[in-house]
Amino acid sequence: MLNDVRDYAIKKRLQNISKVILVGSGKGGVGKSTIAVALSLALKDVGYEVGLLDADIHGPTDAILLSVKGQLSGDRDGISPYVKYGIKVMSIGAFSEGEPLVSYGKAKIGLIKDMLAYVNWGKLDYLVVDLPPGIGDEVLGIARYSRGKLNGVVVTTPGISVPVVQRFINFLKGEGIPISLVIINMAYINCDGKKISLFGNEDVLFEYPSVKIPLIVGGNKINEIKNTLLSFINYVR
Amino acid sequence: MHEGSLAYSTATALIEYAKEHNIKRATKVEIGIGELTMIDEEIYKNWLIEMLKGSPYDSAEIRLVKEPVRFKCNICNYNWSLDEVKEKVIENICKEIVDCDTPIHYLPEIAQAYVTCPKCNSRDFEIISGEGIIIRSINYVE
Repeated sequence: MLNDVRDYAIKKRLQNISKVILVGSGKGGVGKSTIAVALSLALKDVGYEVGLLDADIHGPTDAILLSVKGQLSGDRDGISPYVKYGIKVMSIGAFSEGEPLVSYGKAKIGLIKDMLAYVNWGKLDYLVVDLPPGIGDEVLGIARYSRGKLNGVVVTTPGISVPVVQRFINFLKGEGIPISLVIINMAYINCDGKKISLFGNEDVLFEYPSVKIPLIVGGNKINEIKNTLLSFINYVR
Repeated sequence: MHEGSLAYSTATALIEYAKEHNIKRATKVEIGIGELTMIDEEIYKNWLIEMLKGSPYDSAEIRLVKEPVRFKCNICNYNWSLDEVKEKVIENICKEIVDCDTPIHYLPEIAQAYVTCPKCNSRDFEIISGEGIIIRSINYVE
Protein backbone atom coordinates (compact mmCIF):
# COMPACT_ATOMS: atom_id res chain seq x y z
CA MET A 1 0.00 0.00 0.00
CA LEU A 2 1.04 3.49 -0.83
CA ASN A 3 1.83 5.29 2.36
CA ASP A 4 3.97 8.41 2.78
CA VAL A 5 3.04 10.86 0.00
CA ARG A 6 6.53 12.39 0.19
CA ASP A 7 8.12 9.35 -1.45
CA TYR A 8 6.29 10.08 -4.70
CA ALA A 9 6.76 13.84 -4.37
CA ILE A 10 10.53 13.40 -4.00
CA LYS A 11 10.69 11.28 -7.15
CA LYS A 12 8.78 13.96 -9.04
CA ARG A 13 10.97 16.82 -7.75
CA LEU A 14 14.21 14.99 -8.51
CA GLN A 15 13.12 14.46 -12.11
CA ASN A 16 13.81 18.20 -12.54
CA ILE A 17 17.30 18.04 -11.06
CA SER A 18 20.11 16.79 -13.31
CA LYS A 19 22.85 16.23 -10.72
CA VAL A 20 23.13 16.11 -6.95
CA ILE A 21 26.58 17.02 -5.61
CA LEU A 22 27.33 15.74 -2.12
CA VAL A 23 29.84 17.99 -0.39
CA GLY A 24 30.97 15.88 2.53
CA SER A 25 33.80 14.75 4.69
CA GLY A 26 32.66 12.56 7.52
CA LYS A 27 34.72 14.92 9.71
CA GLY A 28 33.58 18.19 11.29
CA GLY A 29 35.29 21.56 11.08
CA VAL A 30 37.11 21.01 7.79
CA GLY A 31 35.22 23.67 5.83
CA LYS A 32 32.46 21.74 4.09
CA SER A 33 29.97 24.62 4.20
CA THR A 34 32.49 27.14 2.87
CA ILE A 35 33.30 24.80 0.00
CA ALA A 36 29.61 24.00 -0.65
CA VAL A 37 28.78 27.70 -0.89
CA ALA A 38 31.87 28.48 -3.03
CA LEU A 39 31.09 25.55 -5.33
CA SER A 40 27.47 26.69 -5.73
CA LEU A 41 28.68 30.19 -6.64
CA ALA A 42 31.21 28.77 -9.11
CA LEU A 43 28.59 26.61 -10.84
CA LYS A 44 26.26 29.60 -11.01
CA ASP A 45 29.07 31.72 -12.50
CA VAL A 46 29.49 29.20 -15.29
CA GLY A 47 25.80 29.64 -16.07
CA TYR A 48 24.09 26.71 -14.42
CA GLU A 49 20.86 26.72 -12.45
CA VAL A 50 21.97 25.86 -8.93
CA GLY A 51 20.28 24.91 -5.67
CA LEU A 52 22.04 24.63 -2.31
CA LEU A 53 20.54 22.37 0.35
CA ASP A 54 22.02 22.67 3.83
CA ALA A 55 21.57 19.14 5.15
CA ASP A 56 23.39 19.92 8.37
CA ILE A 57 20.27 19.80 10.52
CA HIS A 58 22.04 20.40 13.85
CA GLY A 59 24.56 23.02 12.78
CA PRO A 60 23.36 24.79 9.64
CA THR A 61 25.93 27.31 8.43
CA ASP A 62 25.02 28.09 4.81
CA ALA A 63 22.42 30.69 5.82
CA ILE A 64 25.08 32.51 7.86
CA LEU A 65 27.67 32.37 5.07
CA LEU A 66 25.17 33.73 2.56
CA SER A 67 23.36 36.10 4.97
CA VAL A 68 20.01 34.48 4.29
CA LYS A 69 17.25 35.03 6.84
CA GLY A 70 13.44 35.05 7.00
CA GLN A 71 10.40 32.93 7.76
CA LEU A 72 9.47 30.09 5.46
CA SER A 73 6.83 30.74 2.86
CA GLY A 74 5.25 28.78 0.09
CA ASP A 75 2.47 28.42 -2.40
CA ARG A 76 0.76 25.71 -4.41
CA ASP A 77 4.06 24.66 -5.94
CA GLY A 78 5.81 24.11 -2.63
CA ILE A 79 8.06 25.80 -0.11
CA SER A 80 9.85 28.73 -1.71
CA PRO A 81 13.62 28.47 -1.37
CA TYR A 82 15.53 31.60 -0.40
CA VAL A 83 17.37 33.13 -3.34
CA LYS A 84 20.85 34.63 -3.01
CA TYR A 85 23.22 35.53 -5.86
CA GLY A 86 20.86 33.62 -8.15
CA ILE A 87 21.23 30.42 -6.10
CA LYS A 88 18.17 28.77 -4.57
CA VAL A 89 18.97 28.04 -0.95
CA MET A 90 17.28 25.99 1.75
CA SER A 91 18.79 26.01 5.21
CA ILE A 92 17.06 25.50 8.53
CA GLY A 93 19.46 28.12 9.86
CA ALA A 94 17.61 30.84 7.95
CA PHE A 95 14.51 30.73 10.17
CA SER A 96 15.51 29.13 13.46
CA GLU A 97 17.89 31.58 15.06
CA GLY A 98 19.25 30.37 18.37
CA GLU A 99 17.04 27.27 18.65
CA PRO A 100 18.85 24.09 19.66
CA LEU A 101 18.15 21.97 16.61
CA VAL A 102 17.36 18.67 18.22
CA SER A 103 16.43 15.83 15.93
CA TYR A 104 17.13 12.16 15.54
CA GLY A 105 16.04 8.95 13.85
CA LYS A 106 12.64 8.98 12.17
CA ALA A 107 12.11 12.72 12.70
CA LYS A 108 15.48 13.59 11.16
CA ILE A 109 14.86 11.44 8.10
CA GLY A 110 11.42 13.09 7.98
CA LEU A 111 13.00 16.53 7.85
CA ILE A 112 15.26 15.52 4.98
CA LYS A 113 12.24 14.03 3.18
CA ASP A 114 10.24 17.23 3.77
CA MET A 115 13.02 19.33 2.24
CA LEU A 116 13.36 17.07 -0.79
CA ALA A 117 9.61 16.66 -1.29
CA TYR A 118 8.28 20.13 -0.65
CA VAL A 119 10.98 22.68 -1.50
CA ASN A 120 10.17 24.05 -4.92
CA TRP A 121 13.62 23.87 -6.52
CA GLY A 122 12.17 24.04 -10.02
CA LYS A 123 14.49 22.93 -12.80
CA LEU A 124 18.10 22.66 -11.64
CA ASP A 125 21.32 21.62 -13.30
CA TYR A 126 22.91 21.07 -9.90
CA LEU A 127 21.65 20.61 -6.38
CA VAL A 128 24.67 21.05 -4.10
CA VAL A 129 24.11 19.35 -0.75
CA ASP A 130 26.15 20.48 2.22
CA LEU A 131 26.37 17.33 4.34
CA PRO A 132 26.90 17.27 8.12
CA PRO A 133 29.83 15.47 9.77
CA GLY A 134 29.47 11.72 10.13
CA ILE A 135 27.62 9.23 7.99
CA GLY A 136 24.19 9.33 9.61
CA ASP A 137 20.53 9.85 8.77
CA GLU A 138 21.03 12.99 6.67
CA VAL A 139 23.76 11.47 4.49
CA LEU A 140 21.90 8.19 4.02
CA GLY A 141 18.58 9.95 3.40
CA ILE A 142 19.94 12.17 0.64
CA ALA A 143 21.92 9.33 -0.94
CA ARG A 144 18.92 7.00 -0.82
CA TYR A 145 16.59 9.35 -2.68
CA SER A 146 19.06 10.73 -5.21
CA ARG A 147 20.47 7.46 -6.58
CA GLY A 148 21.85 7.70 -10.09
CA LYS A 149 22.36 11.48 -9.92
CA LEU A 150 25.06 11.64 -7.29
CA ASN A 151 28.58 12.97 -7.41
CA GLY A 152 30.88 13.52 -4.42
CA VAL A 153 33.12 16.46 -3.53
CA VAL A 154 35.18 15.47 -0.51
CA VAL A 155 36.61 18.06 1.87
CA THR A 156 39.43 17.40 4.30
CA THR A 157 42.27 19.08 6.11
CA PRO A 158 45.69 17.41 6.11
CA GLY A 159 46.90 15.39 9.09
CA ILE A 160 44.55 13.89 11.67
CA SER A 161 41.37 14.30 9.58
CA VAL A 162 42.66 12.06 6.82
CA PRO A 163 41.86 8.61 8.31
CA VAL A 164 38.34 9.79 9.20
CA VAL A 165 37.77 11.25 5.76
CA GLN A 166 39.05 8.01 4.22
CA ARG A 167 36.07 6.28 5.89
CA PHE A 168 33.72 8.70 4.15
CA ILE A 169 35.47 8.06 0.85
CA ASN A 170 35.08 4.33 1.42
CA PHE A 171 31.37 4.88 2.06
CA LEU A 172 30.96 6.75 -1.23
CA LYS A 173 32.93 4.07 -3.06
CA GLY A 174 30.81 1.34 -1.49
CA GLU A 175 27.62 3.08 -2.60
CA GLY A 176 28.97 3.51 -6.11
CA ILE A 177 29.01 7.32 -5.85
CA PRO A 178 31.77 8.84 -8.03
CA ILE A 179 34.10 11.42 -6.44
CA SER A 180 35.04 14.32 -8.67
CA LEU A 181 37.18 16.45 -6.36
CA VAL A 182 39.05 16.17 -3.08
CA ILE A 183 39.55 19.59 -1.51
CA ILE A 184 42.42 19.81 0.95
CA ASN A 185 41.35 22.81 2.96
CA MET A 186 43.67 24.77 5.27
CA ALA A 187 46.59 23.03 3.61
CA TYR A 188 49.32 25.64 4.03
CA ILE A 189 50.14 29.25 4.77
CA ASN A 190 52.30 31.65 2.85
CA CYS A 191 54.96 33.13 5.11
CA ASP A 192 57.17 35.67 3.36
CA GLY A 193 56.69 33.77 0.13
CA LYS A 194 57.50 30.45 1.78
CA LYS A 195 54.88 27.70 1.72
CA ILE A 196 54.46 26.19 5.20
CA SER A 197 52.22 23.20 5.90
CA LEU A 198 50.42 23.53 9.22
CA PHE A 199 48.67 20.23 9.75
CA GLY A 200 51.05 17.91 7.96
CA ASN A 201 51.85 17.19 4.36
CA GLU A 202 49.17 18.82 2.24
CA ASP A 203 49.78 16.34 -0.50
CA VAL A 204 47.48 13.83 1.20
CA LEU A 205 47.15 10.63 -0.70
CA PHE A 206 43.77 9.01 -0.70
CA GLU A 207 43.19 5.75 -2.42
CA TYR A 208 40.98 7.41 -4.96
CA PRO A 209 41.88 8.77 -8.37
CA SER A 210 40.34 12.22 -8.17
CA VAL A 211 41.62 15.75 -8.52
CA LYS A 212 43.04 17.13 -5.30
CA ILE A 213 43.03 20.87 -4.67
CA PRO A 214 45.12 22.23 -1.77
CA LEU A 215 43.82 25.52 -0.38
CA ILE A 216 45.71 28.10 1.60
CA VAL A 217 44.93 28.67 5.31
CA GLY A 218 43.24 31.89 6.37
CA GLY A 219 42.25 34.85 4.24
CA ASN A 220 40.39 32.44 2.00
CA LYS A 221 37.39 34.56 1.22
CA ILE A 222 34.59 32.53 -0.32
CA ASN A 223 35.10 34.41 -3.57
CA GLU A 224 38.77 33.41 -3.72
CA ILE A 225 37.85 29.76 -3.17
CA LYS A 226 35.15 30.10 -5.80
CA ASN A 227 37.76 31.37 -8.26
CA THR A 228 40.05 28.43 -7.48
CA LEU A 229 37.17 26.00 -7.95
CA LEU A 230 36.28 27.60 -11.28
CA SER A 231 39.51 26.21 -12.72
CA PHE A 232 38.41 22.70 -11.75
CA ILE A 233 34.71 23.01 -12.56
CA ASN A 234 34.99 20.65 -15.52
CA TYR A 235 35.73 17.79 -13.15
CA VAL A 236 32.46 18.40 -11.30
CA ARG A 237 30.47 18.39 -14.48
CA MET B 1 0.22 28.53 2.98
CA HIS B 2 1.30 25.02 2.26
CA GLU B 3 -2.06 23.28 1.64
CA GLY B 4 -1.78 23.50 -2.15
CA SER B 5 1.63 21.84 -2.34
CA LEU B 6 0.59 19.13 0.13
CA ALA B 7 -2.51 18.50 -2.00
CA TYR B 8 -0.32 18.42 -5.11
CA SER B 9 2.02 15.87 -3.53
CA THR B 10 -0.93 13.75 -2.45
CA ALA B 11 -2.52 13.94 -5.89
CA THR B 12 0.82 13.01 -7.52
CA ALA B 13 1.20 10.04 -5.20
CA LEU B 14 -2.36 8.83 -5.85
CA ILE B 15 -2.13 9.20 -9.62
CA GLU B 16 1.27 7.48 -9.81
CA TYR B 17 -0.06 4.67 -7.63
CA ALA B 18 -3.08 4.26 -9.93
CA LYS B 19 -0.74 4.01 -12.94
CA GLU B 20 1.50 1.46 -11.24
CA HIS B 21 -1.45 -0.69 -10.16
CA ASN B 22 -3.65 -0.22 -13.18
CA ILE B 23 -6.48 1.34 -11.19
CA LYS B 24 -9.20 2.53 -13.55
CA ARG B 25 -11.70 3.90 -11.05
CA ALA B 26 -11.27 4.51 -7.34
CA THR B 27 -14.37 4.68 -5.16
CA LYS B 28 -12.92 5.85 -1.86
CA VAL B 29 -9.62 7.22 -0.57
CA GLU B 30 -8.81 7.61 3.09
CA ILE B 31 -6.03 10.05 3.94
CA GLY B 32 -4.46 10.48 7.36
CA ILE B 33 -3.72 14.12 8.15
CA GLY B 34 -1.08 14.50 10.81
CA GLU B 35 -2.08 17.24 13.21
CA LEU B 36 1.49 18.56 13.19
CA THR B 37 1.05 19.72 9.58
CA MET B 38 -1.35 22.36 11.00
CA ILE B 39 -3.18 22.52 7.69
CA ASP B 40 -6.62 23.86 6.92
CA GLU B 41 -8.29 20.58 5.96
CA GLU B 42 -11.04 22.20 3.92
CA ILE B 43 -8.60 24.13 1.73
CA TYR B 44 -6.44 21.02 1.34
CA LYS B 45 -9.44 18.85 0.40
CA ASN B 46 -10.75 21.38 -2.13
CA TRP B 47 -7.33 21.57 -3.79
CA LEU B 48 -7.05 17.80 -3.83
CA ILE B 49 -10.49 17.27 -5.40
CA GLU B 50 -9.61 19.89 -8.03
CA MET B 51 -6.26 18.23 -8.80
CA LEU B 52 -7.80 14.77 -9.08
CA LYS B 53 -10.33 15.82 -11.73
CA GLY B 54 -10.01 13.68 -14.84
CA SER B 55 -8.02 11.04 -12.94
CA PRO B 56 -9.22 7.61 -11.75
CA TYR B 57 -10.14 9.36 -8.48
CA ASP B 58 -12.53 11.85 -10.12
CA SER B 59 -15.66 10.49 -8.48
CA ALA B 60 -14.04 8.90 -5.43
CA GLU B 61 -15.10 9.82 -1.92
CA ILE B 62 -12.16 11.60 -0.29
CA ARG B 63 -12.14 11.01 3.44
CA LEU B 64 -9.71 12.86 5.68
CA VAL B 65 -8.91 11.37 9.06
CA LYS B 66 -7.18 13.61 11.56
CA GLU B 67 -4.23 11.89 13.20
CA PRO B 68 -3.53 13.47 16.57
CA VAL B 69 0.03 14.23 17.57
CA ARG B 70 1.48 12.35 20.49
CA PHE B 71 4.88 13.17 21.95
CA LYS B 72 6.69 10.92 24.41
CA CYS B 73 9.50 12.16 26.62
CA ASN B 74 12.54 9.90 26.79
CA ILE B 75 13.58 11.36 30.15
CA CYS B 76 10.41 11.33 32.30
CA ASN B 77 8.18 9.18 30.03
CA TYR B 78 5.44 11.82 29.93
CA ASN B 79 3.12 11.49 26.96
CA TRP B 80 1.40 14.63 25.65
CA SER B 81 -0.65 16.16 22.84
CA LEU B 82 -0.02 19.14 20.58
CA ASP B 83 -2.79 21.12 22.29
CA GLU B 84 -0.86 21.01 25.52
CA VAL B 85 2.08 22.93 24.03
CA LYS B 86 0.77 24.58 20.86
CA GLU B 87 0.08 28.04 22.26
CA LYS B 88 3.49 28.33 23.92
CA VAL B 89 5.31 27.03 20.82
CA ILE B 90 3.56 29.43 18.44
CA GLU B 91 4.15 32.32 20.83
CA ASN B 92 7.83 31.40 20.99
CA ILE B 93 8.22 31.10 17.21
CA CYS B 94 6.14 34.06 16.14
CA LYS B 95 7.04 36.58 18.85
CA GLU B 96 5.96 39.93 17.33
CA ILE B 97 5.71 38.73 13.71
CA VAL B 98 2.40 39.68 12.11
CA ASP B 99 0.98 37.02 9.73
CA CYS B 100 3.34 34.47 11.20
CA ASP B 101 3.55 31.21 9.31
CA THR B 102 5.26 28.68 11.58
CA PRO B 103 8.01 26.49 10.09
CA ILE B 104 6.25 23.48 11.67
CA HIS B 105 3.45 23.95 9.13
CA TYR B 106 6.02 23.43 6.33
CA LEU B 107 8.45 21.02 7.99
CA PRO B 108 6.45 19.20 10.70
CA GLU B 109 9.43 17.30 12.08
CA ILE B 110 11.22 20.56 12.92
CA ALA B 111 8.85 20.60 15.93
CA GLN B 112 11.55 18.88 17.94
CA ALA B 113 13.54 22.12 17.87
CA TYR B 114 10.68 24.16 19.33
CA VAL B 115 8.80 21.81 21.65
CA THR B 116 9.91 20.80 25.14
CA CYS B 117 8.40 18.27 27.51
CA PRO B 118 5.70 20.06 29.56
CA LYS B 119 6.70 18.07 32.65
CA CYS B 120 10.52 18.08 32.74
CA ASN B 121 11.34 20.60 29.99
CA SER B 122 13.60 18.19 28.08
CA ARG B 123 13.91 18.22 24.31
CA ASP B 124 14.73 14.52 24.29
CA PHE B 125 11.37 13.17 23.15
CA GLU B 126 9.84 11.25 20.30
CA ILE B 127 7.06 12.23 17.97
CA ILE B 128 5.03 9.03 18.14
CA SER B 129 2.26 9.96 15.72
CA GLY B 130 0.59 12.69 13.72
CA GLU B 131 3.53 14.21 11.87
CA GLY B 132 2.69 13.90 8.19
CA ILE B 133 0.21 12.96 5.50
CA ILE B 134 -0.30 9.31 4.68
CA ILE B 135 -2.60 7.44 2.35
CA ARG B 136 -4.38 4.99 4.63
CA SER B 137 -6.44 3.13 2.05
CA ILE B 138 -7.77 3.18 -1.51
CA ASN B 139 -10.89 1.33 -2.57
CA TYR B 140 -11.20 0.76 -6.28
CA VAL B 141 -12.77 -1.30 -9.01
CA GLU B 142 -10.37 -2.97 -11.47
